[in-house]
Amino acid sequence: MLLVVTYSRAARTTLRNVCRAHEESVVRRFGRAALLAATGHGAFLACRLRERHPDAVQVERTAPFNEFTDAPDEVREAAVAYEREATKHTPYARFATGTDHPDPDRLRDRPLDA
Amino acid sequence: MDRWGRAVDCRDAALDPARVLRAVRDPHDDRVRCPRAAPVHDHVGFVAADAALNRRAAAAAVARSRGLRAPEADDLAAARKKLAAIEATTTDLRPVREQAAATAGERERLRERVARLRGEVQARREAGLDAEETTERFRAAARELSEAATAEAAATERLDRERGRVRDRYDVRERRLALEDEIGNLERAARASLADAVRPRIEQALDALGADPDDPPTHLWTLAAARVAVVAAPVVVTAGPFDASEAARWLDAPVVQL
Repeated sequence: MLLVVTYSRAARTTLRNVCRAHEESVVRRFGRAALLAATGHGAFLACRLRERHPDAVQVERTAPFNEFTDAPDEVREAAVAYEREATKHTPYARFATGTDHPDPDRLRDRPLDA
Repeated sequence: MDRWGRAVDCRDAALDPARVLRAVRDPHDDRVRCPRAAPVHDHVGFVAADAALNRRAAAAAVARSRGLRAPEADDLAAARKKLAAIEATTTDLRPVREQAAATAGERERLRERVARLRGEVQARREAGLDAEETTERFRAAARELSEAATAEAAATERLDRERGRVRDRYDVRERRLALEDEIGNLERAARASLADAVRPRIEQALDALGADPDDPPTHLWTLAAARVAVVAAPVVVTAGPFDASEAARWLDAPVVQL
């Protein structure tokens, strides 16, 4: 899908009008951003917005996230363990110390495969 | 037509009110010579039954003409100053995106050409034909492909780099948008405060006109607001209970009646 984020009042207004007029191509709306359908028409709308507000419209192509294929096992397992086992106020860094789970810096530096 | 004075009655002349109004408001238009129209004139300078009017904005302008200052004024000035200090650099990466796409397209075209020529060379050799000229073309295409791949890598790398840079610039734009919203809210609040400050006077004037203060017709509301306002340029009046000189006295302002 296409994530469109606006960065000016004028662009935000255009996005709002576009979303109102083309509900069929809008998957989700959030304030000054919207997810457009991955169709020719969704791309058409994104291109129009970019053409009208070249400096104030960011467009990212998004894909559904499957944690079993898109995240390394150790990353997913660390997240699951942290959510299940850590007490409420334990920061992740402390939780990971002395375990096999990756420390926060390693997580930050590790890029995801495309 | 040559008429003058504080109360000018032109009802006999069938003038277009919109043209007269433009002449009053335009300091370079000599057809109506008068004191310069202040911002409040845009709101209350035209008294007509069908005039388009935002009453809250008009009442705020009336308050400003009387020298009133909104309690939000200092915050507004500070926010505007902050906004003016933000310099937003371009985030438009279109040329870079286009370049990356074009170099990728070119590389793909050459990749196909190299594959085709490789096949041709092989086929000619297998058929026992002279492959020298085809081999030369194959080598040339392979060199071009290698150059195109380098160009593509450079363009892609540049796009990645620029995208990273633009992310910071978007932060600046986000701050600017937040400030613009803050200014919009303050302006709205200031208009409301100013309008509230003069509302009792406008209602009093409406009462004097015998109008229902809760739901007055547009031309009476405008007359009442114009009376409360400090107006220097002539008010153009096309409706209401007064003749030109009565209107001028009541409004304490010059009047052109049409």
